[in-house]
Amino acid sequence: MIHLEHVSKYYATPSGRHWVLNDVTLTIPDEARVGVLGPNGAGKSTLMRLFAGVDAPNKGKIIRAGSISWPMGLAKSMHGSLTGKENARFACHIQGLTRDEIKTTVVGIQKFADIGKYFNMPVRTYSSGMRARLNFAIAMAFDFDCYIIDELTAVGDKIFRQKSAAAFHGKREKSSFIKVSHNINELKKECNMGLVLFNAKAVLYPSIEEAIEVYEEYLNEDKPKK
Amino acid sequence: MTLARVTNASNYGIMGKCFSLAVLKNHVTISSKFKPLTPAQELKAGFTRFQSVIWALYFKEFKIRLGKSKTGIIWVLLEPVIAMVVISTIWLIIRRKTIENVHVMLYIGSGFIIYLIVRRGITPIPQGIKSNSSLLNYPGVKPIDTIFARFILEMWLHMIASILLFASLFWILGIHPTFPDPLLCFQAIGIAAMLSLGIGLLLGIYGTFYESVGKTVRVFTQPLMIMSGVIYSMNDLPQRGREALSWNPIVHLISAFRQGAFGTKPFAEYDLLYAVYLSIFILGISFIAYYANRFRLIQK
Amino acid sequence: MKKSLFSMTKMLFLFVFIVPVAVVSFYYYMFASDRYESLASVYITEEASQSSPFDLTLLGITNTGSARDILVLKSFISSPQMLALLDKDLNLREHFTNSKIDFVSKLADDASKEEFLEYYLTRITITFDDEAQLLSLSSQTFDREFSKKILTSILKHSQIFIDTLNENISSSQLKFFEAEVKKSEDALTAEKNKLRAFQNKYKILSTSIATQTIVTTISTLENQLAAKKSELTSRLSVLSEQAPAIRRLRSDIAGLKQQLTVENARLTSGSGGSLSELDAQFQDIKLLIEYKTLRYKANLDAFEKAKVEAARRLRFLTVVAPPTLADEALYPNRPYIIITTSIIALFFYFILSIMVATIREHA
Repeated sequence: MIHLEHVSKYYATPSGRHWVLNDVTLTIPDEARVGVLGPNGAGKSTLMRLFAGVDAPNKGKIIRAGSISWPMGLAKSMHGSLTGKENARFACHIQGLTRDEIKTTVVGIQKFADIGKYFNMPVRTYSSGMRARLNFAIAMAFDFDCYIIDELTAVGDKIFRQKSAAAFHGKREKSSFIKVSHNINELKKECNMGLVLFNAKAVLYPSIEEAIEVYEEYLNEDKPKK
Repeated sequence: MTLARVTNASNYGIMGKCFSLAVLKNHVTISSKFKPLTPAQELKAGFTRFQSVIWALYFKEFKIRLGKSKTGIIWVLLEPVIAMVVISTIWLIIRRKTIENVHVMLYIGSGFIIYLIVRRGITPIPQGIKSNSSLLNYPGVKPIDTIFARFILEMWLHMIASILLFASLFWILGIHPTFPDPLLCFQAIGIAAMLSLGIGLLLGIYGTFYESVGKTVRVFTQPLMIMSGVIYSMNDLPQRGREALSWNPIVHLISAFRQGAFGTKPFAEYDLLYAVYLSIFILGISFIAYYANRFRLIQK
Repeated sequence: MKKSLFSMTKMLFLFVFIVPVAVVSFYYYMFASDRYESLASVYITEEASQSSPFDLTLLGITNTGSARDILVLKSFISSPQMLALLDKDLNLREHFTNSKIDFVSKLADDASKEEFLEYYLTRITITFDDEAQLLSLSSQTFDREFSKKILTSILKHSQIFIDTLNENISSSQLKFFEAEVKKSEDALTAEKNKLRAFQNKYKILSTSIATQTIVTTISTLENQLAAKKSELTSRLSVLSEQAPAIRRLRSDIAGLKQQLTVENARLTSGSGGSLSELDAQFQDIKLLIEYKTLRYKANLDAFEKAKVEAARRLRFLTVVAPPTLADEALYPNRPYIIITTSIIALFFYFILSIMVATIREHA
């Protein structure tokens, strides 16, 4: 459950403040599977970071309940100098796992990521696909109540995509997620709610179809309706 | 399309027990099946996470430090010894074997032990934030954790280096401190560590924002060793010199450490409390600066 | 949730800031006894102090001359001995254990000597000004008169201390030379006495004068003898052997010859009383006297020099500012203490509350 209360977020740029969110109030319920829609540069990633608690709003506050994952995405959360294994161990460490748990979890991650010898090489040598796989594998190793996914499933080959979809499906039984994707069909299939981010306003719709409708309406017009 | 349609979570079929999280101004209750944490629970959970994050970062730092270059770690361990030997040799060349009745090597070595603790606060502790920036994308990892982790690692390495220094002096020359007041030594080390943490955090914050801050500070602290009473006795300076240098807290800390280790007399302007106050002050300032800028640090 | 978080910070603020500051303020404004400060400053002068041509202070060679003396004085003032003297003079212990004084700043009734000394050292401050070579003293007690009395007493004992120091320096140095002078003087007197005894014994003032007399006598006698002999020879050619003039001449010659033998014997005879022997003895005595006189003179010179030197190294305690009488109780400096406590407590609060907030953010 994530509740945003009059949240405003902006970045200071040389030409004044760039607003990502302007006085947004919304609640993402416990079992929502939210698809996030918004044009490029609207601040979807920032919104994900706000949801995950990596970043904080300039104004307003965010109430969270349940465990929320870090924004899984283009694997910014991995240290280039560390190997894949060490990154996995690091993630286990910060989740507060014991030594034995770490050992088994890391083996599981290695298996899931399936990146071969690269697992023992520094992450900076990885391709973006490999990074995403590793990052996804690490996140899947832990049980979160809510996953924050930032255009992750778009990467990786078909086999991995299938594998991750299967793994994710298992998680979906008990977890919710908030997902950013440009693949409308995918969202339609997986989500039961939609969130549209446009012109620093975010609105949650009770069905993904309604959200897609509104989003496309926005895109077709020069000016936002509101 | 209005907000009211979605604000009430109970509309969306939450089953079973619900916990009220907050009541908004318009009497709408925010509720969830997840039990909200009480402040005590939050503190406990936070502390557990805090601890695990610091240890995770600590191991990561250690691995990188060890992995990058073996010479790097050897240098860290031998730095006090080498510095001591070089400076002591200069004293021995001008035929000064003891300072305040303490063997030159011990005297200089003890100075470096304190000085290097503070020096670590200028480099490499502040660089911790930048070099771990990617790991800050984990919600549990905060910028201050990287500083803490580095601080613990550096202090740990420095402790080994200090023991190495005293041990090598004992083995090779058979000299050792008498430690008439070991508690004072620990006090001096503790205050120096606090100062180091404060400086490290402060420089870490502003060094991450402004590239030039770190560089400028490093340039301006080059003569710090000479101005800290590491390589000579404060008692040998004229009053005017002592008064000027007594603004530097390291001078007091070194004097305290030597007093505890060898029973030497501290200089006239010696005031350990000044160093304590200044350390608390700097640490407080750095915490405030951190708290005000903690999210900007993540964005960087 | 918001409320409890707020209250947690508030509690922290209460216990880390408000309570300590309140306790400290309460104590200082309600209980703490006033302390009055008396000030004085002294310096030590010496006749002449050698200054080294090089400033070697950086190499650790320092504190020459009066700087050292003043540091000695400083450690004397902070010594148990000084405390004992003050306690005897002013009954210091009674003043500091007075029940009117608040319990924190009071000296415990059953305080040991060491505790008493420690307490005494917190009540006086001695600072040494390197450049002016000035020793600044201050004392803080719970009575304005008493503060002044303590300093006055300290200065009195310091004066005595410096005087003793001077005496020690001069006496230890001069004693040696004095003894030497005395010794050589005695030796000289003894030698002179010997001479006097010698003169009395042989009834001569000086052997050389006596010899001179004998030699003159001998030469006069020989001259006379030669004159008589030549007169005899010339008279024998006209007068007979039996002529009374010849007989008188011959008896004169015989007399002269005898006298000559006697005189010669006086000059060079082998046994004891001969003049040459006496002369040798006399010369020995004279040489010894001369030597001892020289030694005496040298010792006397050294003694005089040492005396001057000692005088040059005499120290004088000069009171620059006599002990003052406090007008008002400056200590404890309540606003200063409370502001300092507040700042420190505030920073403690910042550190702790931010630490707590940081930890909570990790949850």
